[in-house]
Amino acid sequence: MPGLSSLHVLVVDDNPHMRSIVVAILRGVDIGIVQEASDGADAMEVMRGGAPDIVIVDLNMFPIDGLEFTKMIRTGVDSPYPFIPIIMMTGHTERSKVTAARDSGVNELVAKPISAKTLLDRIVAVIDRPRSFVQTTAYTGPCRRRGGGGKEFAGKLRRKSDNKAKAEQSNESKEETA
Amino acid sequence: MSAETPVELIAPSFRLQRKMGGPASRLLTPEAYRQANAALEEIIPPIDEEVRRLLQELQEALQAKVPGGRDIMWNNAHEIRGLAGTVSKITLGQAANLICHYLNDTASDFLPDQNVMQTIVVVAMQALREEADTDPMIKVMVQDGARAVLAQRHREGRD
Repeated sequence: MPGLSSLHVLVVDDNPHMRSIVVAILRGVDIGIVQEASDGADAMEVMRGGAPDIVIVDLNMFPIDGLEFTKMIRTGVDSPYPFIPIIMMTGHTERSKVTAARDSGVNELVAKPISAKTLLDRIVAVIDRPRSFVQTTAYTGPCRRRGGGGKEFAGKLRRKSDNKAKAEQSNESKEETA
Repeated sequence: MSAETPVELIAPSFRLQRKMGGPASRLLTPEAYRQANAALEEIIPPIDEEVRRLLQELQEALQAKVPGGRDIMWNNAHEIRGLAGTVSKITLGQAANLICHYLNDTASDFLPDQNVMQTIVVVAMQALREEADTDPMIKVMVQDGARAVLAQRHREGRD
C-alpha cells in the first residue's frame, strides 16, 4: 500500500524556523515529498514544477500574506491547481481573522502554537473528510457549511440575499395572525 | 431565498485517499504521532537561536524609534509566541504575548514606552533558559511584566 509516503506536501512560511518545525512533523510521519517555499511567489513557482497534494501556509507572511496567497491559488487566472487542499497556520485566533481565512478559501485552520497532533489532525480532515467545492463570483473554495449542508437550519437568515425571504416570512406571519 | 449569483458546486474529491490506498486516519496511528513528536523535539535547539535573533532585532527597532518599528516589534513578538508555544516554552510564550498585547490596537508609527518594552524583553531573555518554566522567580517577573503592560495601556488611554 502506498500510504503516507505517496503524499506531496508544500509548506509555505517566511519564517525558516517555523517551516523547519512543520517539515520535521511531516517527515516524522514519513510523508514522501515535503517541499518548502519562503513566500507566495516562491510557492507558485514550486507548484508549477509539480503538483503538491496539500499546501500548508502561514497567515502572517510578508510581502504576500497567507490570505492573499490562498486567493491567488483559488481564483488566479494562472493558478495551476485551484482545488488543492490548503491548511492555514495562524497565531491570530480572533473571530475576524478566522472568518477572513475561511472566506479566502482555506480548507482547514490550525492555531499556533502548533503540535504534531493538531497539524496531523488537519491533514486527516482534508484527506478523509473532503468538502464540496463552491465557485461563485464572490467566493471560490471549499463549502463553508459543515455537517448537513444547512438543510435542517432553523436559525436567523444572515445573507444580504435573504432580505426578500425575511420580508416574505414576516408577511406570512402577519397574515396568519390576521 | 433568492440567489444573487450563480453557484457551481463541485463534488468532494477522494483523490488523496485513492492515492494513499485508504483513509489517512488508519495510517496515522499513535506510533506515527509519537514519531512526529520525537522529530519535533529534535529540532528544539536551533529555535533558541532564532528567538535570540528575533529579540535582538526587536530591541534594535525599539531603540531606533523610527516609524514602522512598531510593526517589526509586533511581528517578532508574534513569531516568538508561535515558536515558544510549539516547543512548549510556556514562560517565553507568555512574555512574547505581553509584547503583542501591549502593541495591539496601535498604529505603525506608535512609539512604545522604552521601559515597559525593555522589562518584557529581559523577561523573554530569562525565559529562554532551560529551567525557566519551573523557576518561580521568572513567573514573578512575568506577572510584573503583565502589570506593567496593563498600567502603561491604561496611562495611554487604551484600557
